[in-house]
This record gives sequence, structure tokens and C-alpha cells, in this order.
Amino acid sequence: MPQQTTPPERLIDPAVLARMRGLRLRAERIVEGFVSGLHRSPYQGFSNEFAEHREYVPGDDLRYVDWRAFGKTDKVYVKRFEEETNLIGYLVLDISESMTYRGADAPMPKLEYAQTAAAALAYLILKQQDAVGLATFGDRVRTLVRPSGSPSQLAPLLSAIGEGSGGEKTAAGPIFHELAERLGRRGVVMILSDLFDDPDALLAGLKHFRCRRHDVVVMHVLDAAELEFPFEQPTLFKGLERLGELLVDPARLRRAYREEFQAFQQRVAAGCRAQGADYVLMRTDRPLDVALSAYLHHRQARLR
Amino acid sequence: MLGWLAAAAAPILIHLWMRQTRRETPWAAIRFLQAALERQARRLRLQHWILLAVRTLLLVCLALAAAKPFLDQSGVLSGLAGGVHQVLVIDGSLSMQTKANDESRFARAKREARRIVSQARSGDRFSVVTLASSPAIVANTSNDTAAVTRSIDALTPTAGEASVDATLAVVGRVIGLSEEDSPRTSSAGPVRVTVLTDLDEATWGDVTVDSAAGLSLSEIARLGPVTAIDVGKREVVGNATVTRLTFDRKLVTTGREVAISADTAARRGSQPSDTTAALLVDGVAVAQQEVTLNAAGGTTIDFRHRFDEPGTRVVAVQLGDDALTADNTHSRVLRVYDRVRVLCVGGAPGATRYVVDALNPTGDRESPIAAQRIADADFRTVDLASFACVFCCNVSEFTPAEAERLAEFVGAGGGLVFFLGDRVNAAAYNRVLGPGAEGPLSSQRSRGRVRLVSIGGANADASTSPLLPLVLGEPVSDASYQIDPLGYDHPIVVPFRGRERAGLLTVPVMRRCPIRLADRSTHAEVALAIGGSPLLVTAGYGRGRVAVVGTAASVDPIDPATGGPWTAWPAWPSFLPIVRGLMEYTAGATTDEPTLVVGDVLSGRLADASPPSIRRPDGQVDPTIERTDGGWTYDTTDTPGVYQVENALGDDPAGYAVNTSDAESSLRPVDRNALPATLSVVVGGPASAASTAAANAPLHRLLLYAAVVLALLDTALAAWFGRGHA
Repeated sequence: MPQQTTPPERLIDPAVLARMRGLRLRAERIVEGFVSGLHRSPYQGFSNEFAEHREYVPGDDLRYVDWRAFGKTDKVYVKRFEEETNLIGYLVLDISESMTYRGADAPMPKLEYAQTAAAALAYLILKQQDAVGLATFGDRVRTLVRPSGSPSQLAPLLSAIGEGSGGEKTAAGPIFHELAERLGRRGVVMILSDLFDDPDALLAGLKHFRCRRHDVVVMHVLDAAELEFPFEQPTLFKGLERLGELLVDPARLRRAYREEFQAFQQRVAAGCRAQGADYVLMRTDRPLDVALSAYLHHRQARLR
Repeated sequence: MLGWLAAAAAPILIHLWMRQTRRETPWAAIRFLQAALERQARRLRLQHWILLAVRTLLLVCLALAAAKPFLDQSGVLSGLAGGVHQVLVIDGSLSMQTKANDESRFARAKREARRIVSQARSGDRFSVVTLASSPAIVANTSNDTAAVTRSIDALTPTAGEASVDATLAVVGRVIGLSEEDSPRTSSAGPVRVTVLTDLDEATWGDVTVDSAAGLSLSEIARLGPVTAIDVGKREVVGNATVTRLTFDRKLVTTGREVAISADTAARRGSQPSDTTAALLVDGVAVAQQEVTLNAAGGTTIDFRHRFDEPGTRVVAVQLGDDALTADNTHSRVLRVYDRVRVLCVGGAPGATRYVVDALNPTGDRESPIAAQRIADADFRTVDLASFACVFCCNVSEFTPAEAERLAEFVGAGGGLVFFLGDRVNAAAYNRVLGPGAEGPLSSQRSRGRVRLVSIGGANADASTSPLLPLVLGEPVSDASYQIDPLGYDHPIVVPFRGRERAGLLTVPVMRRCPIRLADRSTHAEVALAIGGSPLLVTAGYGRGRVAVVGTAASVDPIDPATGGPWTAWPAWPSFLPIVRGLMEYTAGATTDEPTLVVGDVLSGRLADASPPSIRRPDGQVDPTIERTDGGWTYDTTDTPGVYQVENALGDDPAGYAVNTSDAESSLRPVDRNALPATLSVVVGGPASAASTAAANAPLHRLLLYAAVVLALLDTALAAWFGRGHA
């Protein structure tokens, strides 16, 4: 399992990324920075197509020692294979209005964070010779890019990712049902959303993915302010997605809000785990590598 | 001060500021905010209810505290708080003046009383009654605690005794307990009687369950608790007092030393104590001596003094200071004679010769006894007031007017001696002076010429008794050579005790008038008798004394049976001491009078024109003299000392010495087990004060405290809730 470390350049720190223009640039920096910190190259996989021999070094898997070569040469070699997978990564990106929220101290809106993460994932997947597809949704599925492993796939992906907010109200549950029907071969479905919807409908949609034998990684994108509710003064909260306005005294409501929110979050997380889906919390003020780690973890698991 | 009104702008400014600081923000997770609001709503409602309750209570407390005076006036609060009618009975007897640690018991009692008043709850009413022989209501059912405290402060202790019975009667009146009422009801609600006393035996010794005071106690106890707070604290304090002042002679004359004896009683644990004793004459110390007072029993202190000036003198013995100073001085009013003048009235020539010779054997003009001899015919012209004693020898009879003068003379303190003889008309004596004289004499006396006697003692009341409480029989010849001294008990014959050969027992009496004591004459005393028949009888009358000798005072009267004299007594050696004894005993009656005690009533004859006024021991002239039929009385003898009577009539004494009660001076605490159980006894002190102070704090103060606490609680709760807790 790949070990996760913080790269010295901190290129995947959202505060740094926010200063970089262009999803491609960001994606390259993130992936290269991320990869450079790994012990094992994520680009080399295991397939039946032999690539070359390499001298054994401690730490190599003994399964891949070429005992025949050992018998002939009395030297220990490890077999290396050319990567060849048929893994398909589906990026499901929520671009509804609620994703445009940006807390006062947040480096970027949730949407931008999710877009950056999606771009980085797409870049990484393509670099790994895998196929990657994309779906964005607001109140309905907005864009659907068919999966492809071609390096030319990156350009349409990035343009679709960078489309911007859909401005609609999220109703994720039915959309997941729809997507589950429309996605083709099974693969890893990576959902980037704040999941502000009825948890039951949401989990029902996720279950549909699992029924289609997809691996599901739920990347829950949240702003720090939404988690901690740090407001002090009486504030008029204007609801996104036409949910009305509320004038409240945040100080008096903080505890109740946190309880409510944690209950929601735990409900979603528990629901995901119950269905065998991964739940990853992505705070917009935290580095993006959690997204990449989660994907790589799934890829490893699937290859074995 | 009005500058603080600017502070009223603060809430408005805060409000405006809060309005300006309202913020707006877009918000994605609005659904959770709504859920939180709903979740919070019930909690908020609860918090609002709590805050509302606290604030309402705060306002109620403030309103009640502010409205307290009005509620008190209308009596609403007293009904709610159950106001109690507290009767404070403060012991004012002499023993309460005892000091320990520089504070007298009376001051301690006043302090306790003030404490009880200061801890009054609203609705309480107070009555203050003094425990005294004539109890006074100082405050009656007052709810003005300031006035009650003032009246308590103004209380002063008396030097007299106290009557629990009389005081409880007054208390019963104060709390509305009367004969007609059912004993279980009182007009004024619950009652609490608190007696602040030292529980000394003089006051409480005769209060038992069965006594009148005990019955009154149980009557009062049915209405409310009766508590005695012991302010005496049972401390052992030393106290010495002079109980009696006596002179070795009944008739004191100038130029001759008189021995003055002061009997003292001391109470000081078990140790003898040293003190000084001073002899004061008219307030001036004339002698002083160091004395050691025995711990138990009495000590007699002897002085000798010679009076140089005649007149009415005040003699006092004063002891050094101790715990109770009021009883350290014992005074007496003494009449000092220049010469004792004796009038000898003879009914026959030479009838008084032997008497005069016995009184003044040498005929010396400077003799302390000056005897004046007159015939019975001259009796009506003589002013008796200038004589100390009158001897009537063989006077045949007296007119009612003369009898009246004699009675008046004796009643005022004079001495009167009758010697009989052959001229005596016994029937006339019995009629005018004896029991038969009641009719005419009493009617005359009712005109108010006879002095009323209030001083205790065995003397007869002059208004109802005859001058001679005996009946004289016709003379009988019954030769006797044996006189019975009756045990030498009578003061006149006391000097003969142990001197059987002094010539008293062998006096020959051939003829005499048999004396029969009147039935009701319990105050007559027989000094000598012959064969069971009285020969010498004395009797008190008014302030003086009268004596009758059943035989003659000279050898002139002839016994017809033998041709010899009635008696040879005038020639007998015992005649002189007997005559002198008769004079001193009869004329010195006033010296034997028991001294007046604080609280006793003074009385005297009323001068025709102007009533006398009383100069009290403290120098004040008290005009409040009560006039009675033919006299006056004065009952405000509340301090010991000499009460000078100014403008007194004739030979009334110019002053009355009033002393303190010996029983009070003993400071003996009463046996608490003997007291009725209805009286619960507690020991007063600062401890009991502290225990009840908090509980009895005034209601409005408690309300204000509660308001402050509620205000703080409100602020704290609001801040707590506002922070999102709870």
C-alpha cells in the first residue's frame, strides 16, 4: 500500500494551488508532487506482459523472483511487467450551487476544490494508462464524457471539469440512479460532492452503483465553516439552492448545528461503509492528496 | 446623582450597535441550520420560561420589599407572617442592680430586650412590663419598635422587691386575658411572654405551681409560651449589706456616747472579705473602720458616737463597694434629745415624788432626764408634744378630751405609764381609756387628729383599738411577797435576769388593781405578774407604747385592810431601774420600729393648712402626695435613703429612713426545680442572640437580598444560555 507523505514543496496545499491558474497545471503539479513522494511508482503495475529483469533488492516481493534465472545464473532477479490494466475511473462531479460556497477563511470554493481534485485524478489515471470518464451534475446530469485511456482524453475532460457551476438544486439520489444505468463497464466511481441531500435517497443511489459492481469512493467535499460553524454575530443566512433565508444568533445555535451536521456526516459515512463504499472527507482547507491516495488504494486493491 | 440617568441610554446604544453589526452570508448547509433551529426551539422555550420566571420573581420581590410599609399598616403582612404579641417583662428588683464584668444584670436584661425587639418580624407587637412590687406598663401592644426600644432604654431599676403575682396580673391584662374571656382566646393573636430576670429567691421563691402566681402563669401559658431568660448567669458575686442598725439606748441624748451596732450579712462564696465600714451622721462620715466580714452568717460592726446637737439626725452605716452597691448603706432616723423631758402627773400630793426621784435622783438640772411634776388639775394646760414620756400616778380619772390627748400623744410615739393608787377610779379608766371607750374615742378619732400608722409591727392600729387593751378591776388587798418575772422576757425586766437578789422578786405588794387583758389584746405584753395575775402590762399603741402598773408609785396610798401602804416598791431597790426602764421602753418605741423597706408606704398626719411635701433622697421634691382621710400617704419610695417630710405636723418625724430588702441583698438564686413547669428557663447570652438573629431578620431586607440574588442569577443564566450552553 502506498505510503502517504507530505511533499516538501507543498504543491498540493490548496492555499498554494489557489494561486495557480489552469486545471492542467494544477493537475500536473499535484500528481508529480504526489508521485515523487511515493515509495513505489504508481505507474508500474503487474500484468502478464513481461518487461525486463532487474536485480533483486531487499523489499521486493518474493513472488516475482525469477527462480528459473536464479537456477541458471545463480543470481536473483526480479521479473518486471509492463502495466496493462483495463481499469476505468469514473469521476462524478457535483457542480450544483451549494458547491459554490466558500467560507471566509477557505482558500477556494468547494467547487473549485472538487474540480482541482477531479483534474488531478484524471491526469493521474491517464498517466497510469487507465481509462477515465466524467459526469457532472446539478439537478440533472449536465455533462457526460465517455471513458477513454487515450492521452488525448485529457483535454475534453479538463474543459468539462472546468465548466463552472450548474446553479441548480442538487437532488443527488435520482441522479446516481441515472448514472448507474448509464455508466458502462464496471470501474471505480469517484463522487466529489457535498452530498447536501436526503441521506436515504443518497445512499440508495450509491447502492445502485454497488449493484453495478462499481467500486465507489465518496469524496465528501466540505468547507471548514460548514463543519465548525464559527460565526459569532447575528447573521442572516441566505440559503443557496432557493432554500430561503434564516436570521439566527450563531453563538446560541452552534452546538445544535454541530450536532445536526455531525449526525448527517456520520450517517453518510456509516451508510457508505455498510455498502462497501469508501468515504473520504475532503475539507477545502486541507491538502488534496487524500483524493489521490483514496484512488490509488482502490486501484491497488482491484489489481490484486 | 442625576448623571447616572445617562446610563439609561446604554441599552439603546447596545441595541443600535447590535443592529449595525448584523451580517449576511450565503449558506449552503441551510437545512442543518433549520434542523438545529427546530432542535433548539424546545430548549430555547425552556430557557425563556426559566428567564421569565426569574425576572417575574425578581419584580415580585422588589414590589413586596417596596410595599412593605403599606402592607404593614394594613396588617396584611402581619397576618401572613403571623405577627406575635411579645410581652417583655423586665425584672426591676434590687438584685438586678448586681454588677458583674462592669455590666449590671438590669443592663443585660435591657440589652436582651433590645435584641428581641430588634429581631422583630413584621407584624410583631411589643408590650413592656416591669417586674416590680407595683408593676408598670412601659409599652402597650406597640408595633413601633423604635418607640419600644426607647422606652426600654429609659427603664431604670428599682431598689425594691418585686411581686411576680402582681406583675403577672398586669401581663394578663395586657394580653387581654380577663375573667370573662375564655382563657383560650386572646384578642391579639399569638402571644409570647419573655421574662428577663435573675431568678433570685426573693422574687421567685414563693412562685410554685400552687401559688397564685403559678396559677396566673399557667393561665398565660395557655395563650403562648412563657420564657424566663436568666440574666443572672448564676455568677458568684460578692455582696455585703447592713441588715440592721441598733443603738444601745432607746433614748439618745446629747453629750453621752451611744453604741451603734450594725448587723451585716455577706455573701461571697466561702471566703471572708475585707471591706471598710463608715458611720455617717447626716451624710458626714464621722468614723471609719476596716472590717472582715464572715463568709457565712452575720458580722456585727460596732461604733461609738457622741451627738453634740439635739434634733432629728440621720445615722447611716456604709460598707465599701461591691457587686451590688445600692444595699451597702443602711440608715436610720434618730431623735437626739438635749434632755429627755418627762411629765409626771400626780393625782395626789406626793404621788409622783418617788418617780421623779427615780428619774433624776440627784435633782441635777443638767441631768439627761428632766422630770416635770404637775398636779392632775394642771394636766389640761400642758402641751404634751414637748415631752417624751408621761407618768400618771394615782390620777383618779380622765375626761374624754384628756384621754384623746393622751391617745394622740402615744400614737405619735410618746410613752405613757400609769401607776395606780387609792384615788384611781377603775371603772372610769375602763370607760375612757379601756375597751369600753371605743364608742366616743373612735368617733373623735375619726376627725383625723390621730396619726395613722402604716409601719409594720405589733402595735395596735390607733383608729380601732383602745389605748388600754385591758380591764382594771377594783383594788383588792392580797398581800404578796413574790413577783413572777415571767422568765425575764420583757425588755423592761431583762436587766434583772441573773440578778435574783436585785430586789425585783421580793417586792411586797399588799393591794393592787387586778388587771385582766382584753380579749382582743394580742399586742399587750405582761412583764410582771403576781400569782398569775398581771402586775405590769405594756401595750403598743400607734407609734408609742403605754404601760400600766397595777399598784401605786408611792407609799402614801393606804391599804384599808392592813393600814399599811399599798406597796413598799418605791422604797425597794428595783424601783429605780423599773421606772427608768418604763420610761425608756415606752418613750423609745420609735427606736424599736422596724425600718422601712423600699416600696413601703409613708404616711402621716395632715397639717391643717398645707399638705407636706416630700424631699426624696436624690434631692427632688415630690409634690405627688396622696391625701387620705385626715392624713397623707406617699408610696413612691423607690430608692433607699431618707425621705424628708417638709412642713410636717407637730412631732411627726422629720424624716423616714427607707432601706433595701435583706432578701434581695442575699442574691440567692431560686431553685429552678421548684418553679412551675409552665415557665421555661433559658440562660441569656450572646449565643442565643446569634442563633436567632438570621431567622428573625426583617422581611423586606430578605426580599431585597432575594432580588439581588435573582438579578445576578438572571445575568448569569442569560450569559450561559447565550453562549449556547444548556
